[in-house]
Amino acid sequence: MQTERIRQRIETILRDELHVAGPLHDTTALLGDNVLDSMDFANYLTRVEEEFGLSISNEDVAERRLGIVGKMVEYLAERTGGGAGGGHGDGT
Amino acid sequence: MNARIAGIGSYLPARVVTNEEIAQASGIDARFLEEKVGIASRHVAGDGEPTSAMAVRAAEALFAGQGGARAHVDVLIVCTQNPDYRLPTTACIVQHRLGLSTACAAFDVNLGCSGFVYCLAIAQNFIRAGGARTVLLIMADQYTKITGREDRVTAGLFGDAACAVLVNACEEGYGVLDYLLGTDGGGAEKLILYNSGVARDAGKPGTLYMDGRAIYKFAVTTVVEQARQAMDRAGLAAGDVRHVVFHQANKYMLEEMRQRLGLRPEQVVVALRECANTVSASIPLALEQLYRRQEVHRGDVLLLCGFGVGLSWGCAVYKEP
Repeated sequence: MQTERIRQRIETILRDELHVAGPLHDTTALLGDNVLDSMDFANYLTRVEEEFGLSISNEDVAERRLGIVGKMVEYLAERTGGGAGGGHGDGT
Repeated sequence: MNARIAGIGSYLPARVVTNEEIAQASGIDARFLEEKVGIASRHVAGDGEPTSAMAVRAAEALFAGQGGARAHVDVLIVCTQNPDYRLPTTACIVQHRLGLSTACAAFDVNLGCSGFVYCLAIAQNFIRAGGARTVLLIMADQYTKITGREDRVTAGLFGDAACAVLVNACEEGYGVLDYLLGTDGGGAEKLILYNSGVARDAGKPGTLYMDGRAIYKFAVTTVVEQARQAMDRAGLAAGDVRHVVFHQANKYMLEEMRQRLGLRPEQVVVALRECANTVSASIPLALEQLYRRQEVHRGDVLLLCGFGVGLSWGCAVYKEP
């Protein structure tokens, strides 16, 4: 499922590049739960943009609450045309 | 012939503001500022201390070690975004106070963190064209005057400073070998002081606004690419550069830029702990420390890379004569 792959790619960024060690759930708020500070969060968003080849506006970050892991997964699924109900599944 | 850096003098205002004071006013975590941003304290100009006074102090520090250089200055460039007045230029005031010749051309450059590389490029062109033999560059700014004390994005990031750099000619193959300047005005509102000129920006803040995320992305993508291009143009691999002196924005950002360029930690100068982000003065202040520690030797190649408000950037490849 596309969303699962998106979640894995996000988790890879957080684990491997931002060195997040603790648990990560869909409900984890990266800033609110003190997983990342503001500098890490700016880095995280830059890495996500690069990884998925898109640009994320500040408005979307705020309105779509993209600091929450599951919200970011949903958002990216929409933006990349994937998701559980999307038409561009990867066939897995 | 090329332009070379013949001397550097600096001035930091006496008043030092600690992270604890910043934390008290803004709520920013003092430890975050020190450990993540890499700033422990900053110097802050007094209310009665205009930019011209800072510029003069830096130039006098330079002249103290340069004998008769004062008499030979053909061009004076003051780079600031917080001039004494909208008019006349701060450079005119400084020319008079330094007792420079009236035959000296004097003008301001309104640029922020890219300013030093731009001014070095201007000096290079004056010298190569035969329009000047000695150019005095003074980077002088006081962003603490325009930063909101309670703004959690910008409070504590900036420090006030002035740095004077004497530039004159050296033989071909040394000094400024190449430079690359660029601009993306599409990002003008990413770092801006609204209502500071004749434009009226209803509902906008009266203190510095910074979209920190946009500036971060700009630095680690656009600026990194430009730095890479500057090295490519000069035929340099990452390992060929002795010192990379980025604008001293913050430690976290510099580390990310270093990694993306494949540089070793010891190649990248980090010099903002006691003075914070001093805007256009940050690169020459870092250079001054390198020269004082005698870490620059004939033939060493330096990459100087300024970036910031504009959005604007400049990278220069410099070979120590």
